[in-house]
Amino acid sequence: MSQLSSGGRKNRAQNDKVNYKQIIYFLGAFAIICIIVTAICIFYTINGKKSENNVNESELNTDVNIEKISLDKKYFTNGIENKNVKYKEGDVVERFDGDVEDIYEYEISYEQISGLKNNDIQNKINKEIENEVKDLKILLEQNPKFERISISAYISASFSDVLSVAIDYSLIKAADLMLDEEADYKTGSVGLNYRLDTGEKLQFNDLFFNTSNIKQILNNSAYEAYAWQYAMDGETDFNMNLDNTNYGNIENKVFKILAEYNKNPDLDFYFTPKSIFAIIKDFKFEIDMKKYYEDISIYRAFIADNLYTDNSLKKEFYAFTDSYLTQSYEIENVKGTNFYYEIMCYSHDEVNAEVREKVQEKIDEHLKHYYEIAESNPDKGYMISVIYFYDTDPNSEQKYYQYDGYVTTMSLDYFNKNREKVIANARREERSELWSYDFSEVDKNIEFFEQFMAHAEDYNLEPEIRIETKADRGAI
Amino acid sequence: MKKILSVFGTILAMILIVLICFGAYNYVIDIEDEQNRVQDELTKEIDSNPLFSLENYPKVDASLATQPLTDAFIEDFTGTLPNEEELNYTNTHPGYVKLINGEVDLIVVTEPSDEEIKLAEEAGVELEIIPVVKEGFVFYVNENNPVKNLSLENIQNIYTGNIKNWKELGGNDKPIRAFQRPENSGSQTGMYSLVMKNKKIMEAPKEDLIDTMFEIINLVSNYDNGENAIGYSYYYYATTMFNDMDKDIADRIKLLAVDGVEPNDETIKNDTYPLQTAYYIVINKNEEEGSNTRKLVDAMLSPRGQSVAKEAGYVPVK
Repeated sequence: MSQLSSGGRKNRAQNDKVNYKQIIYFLGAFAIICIIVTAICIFYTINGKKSENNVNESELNTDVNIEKISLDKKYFTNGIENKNVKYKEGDVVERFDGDVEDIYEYEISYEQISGLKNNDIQNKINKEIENEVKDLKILLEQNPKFERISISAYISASFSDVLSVAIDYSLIKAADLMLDEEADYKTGSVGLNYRLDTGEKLQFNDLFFNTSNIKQILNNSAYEAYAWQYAMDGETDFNMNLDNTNYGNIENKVFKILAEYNKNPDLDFYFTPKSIFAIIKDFKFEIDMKKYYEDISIYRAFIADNLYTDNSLKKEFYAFTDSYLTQSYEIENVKGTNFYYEIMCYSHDEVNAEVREKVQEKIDEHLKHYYEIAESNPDKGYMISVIYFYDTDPNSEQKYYQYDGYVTTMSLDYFNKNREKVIANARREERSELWSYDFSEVDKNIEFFEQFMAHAEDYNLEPEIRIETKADRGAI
Repeated sequence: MKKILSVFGTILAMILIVLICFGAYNYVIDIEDEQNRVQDELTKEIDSNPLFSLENYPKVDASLATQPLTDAFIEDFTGTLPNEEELNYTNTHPGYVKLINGEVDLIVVTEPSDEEIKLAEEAGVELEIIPVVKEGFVFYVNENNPVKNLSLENIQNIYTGNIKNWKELGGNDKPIRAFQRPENSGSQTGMYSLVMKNKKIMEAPKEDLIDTMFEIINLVSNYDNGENAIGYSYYYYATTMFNDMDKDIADRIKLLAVDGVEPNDETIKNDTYPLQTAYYIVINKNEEEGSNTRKLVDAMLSPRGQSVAKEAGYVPVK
């Protein structure tokens, strides 16, 4: 019995020993875990880590189906018309002899649209334009030192079912020699931008794709605008090539622009078919849409069906050009597979039809002549651009006209493959509105053939015509 | 009975461990709170009364990266912050020119370039240059670039054109696109004096000579073609300022360690980061003792001023 008791006591002792070891291991592990958890709690408490929104903005991209802009494709203007409302108020500030109108204290004009099927949207937009102009007038009146306020609201862009209204204002104070005061003026702009399908306002970011780096576009555009401003102001460290070394002032100002955009991305702007004008802290700068065409969504973003009462008012145009392809008229029987011509008119509306017919008659003669040349050279392509202008001379009431045309040639193959691209590129070149397009200046594969120009002091007289040939150009 | 006792003992021990950890947690948090409280008290004790009025505050100018600092000083020392038109900062080089011409009294900028020193000499002006906050000169690459560290020698070799491909530095087989800044920009001056020293920097092709610090960071961060790019700037701009401006872009670049030391507040403060510099108060050495300008210098370097600098996100020099 004592042996059994002794063996039993020995077993119990061994069991107890094993239990303590396990307990110690368990407590050790538990302590380590507690220490780790405590350390983590301390870390997070001190650092105050906030939960972040990890949604990548590109995942929110809802514009994957919007086409990027094609540089060769034609787009449409809207089927709306606009009417100008103009009025003057207050006292006459300046008076001139002759035909020039009196200048009043307030010179206000704004445009009103028509042609939308949805009258509610149309009325809303028109009312907002009118109210914006009126509110601006009240705001500007708070500048007592200025004698004259001029406000002009005009449609700066109307295409692809979007509308942009630019409102330019100026405050003017004439010099006062008696009081030895200099003239002074202040100018500025604001913008109103709409979708024509819903009448909703467009935000600045709506002009771009969700994935666009808008800040970089703003940074680069603002930089260029400031650099040009400095160059134009004749700052010694700047020149018109912008290859200067004193960038300090500019970087500083640009950073402020970006900081402002950061605070409020809903910035003031308006746009044309080729530029966006951003207005931040009274500084207006241009964003060249063509330069950033891969980021611009506005040409295709808000297209809707069947918004207009008259779709025939829509005109074709190439992206990033201000010139709508308005063919003034077509010539009968002048149609060839190797012959392209465009005739544009830039003219005063009030001059009568007789003058117009006369100038068109003259242009027809030229074009028929070149058409014959094209017919006898079927292996070549011909592109002709003509612009004409007619008006009444205010000094004599004679009705005069002038026209200008460039004739260019290229291989037939090139003509067939690249004609649209050539026209689009020509439209995008900076040029005066009163000149036609010399396609050879925008494309090395195109040759200048001839230029024809005419001017008639009176439409009843024969015009002075001048032809410049390639040889003439070479001699110059 | 023993088993019951051992279980009870185990539970007690667990409770004790939890209580100890809880106590440790509270102790550490209390210490942190106490430190913050002491810091606040110090700040309060440092007299928050205005030292200047806007009217007698010296005319100042600043670099882009020091404008927040200069703004913070004005606001603290006068009790108000004038609007931007009144401040009219112009940046590093024009700031030096204005100081030399006497149009401003004090500038807070990066160190002077050789040209700026020469301008001062020609005008007979001796510049007094006093560090006000510490700063690091940093290099950054796209976050997808596998290279994390460069020796100073390798950086020099990149910018002399001796190293042309990332694979020579343990990275991908891609040519290095090394952006530069224009002459007289603060970061280009820093590049010459801190990094290149007497080595000739290669001439950058026009497309790699970038007008603004903002644009370089954008280009380096670019998903499509930023992976082989490298740029440089100052630590404060590349982190605090840019982060506020565009956090998404800021997250797509990474700062490189130089000689194995990563740039951060700590390594800049304790001088272990090798490319150390500062932002400086620069005045005309002939500035009279006791003038408002001298008082402003003293204020900026005082515990109050250094506290203001720290609050503004800079690394105090004292």
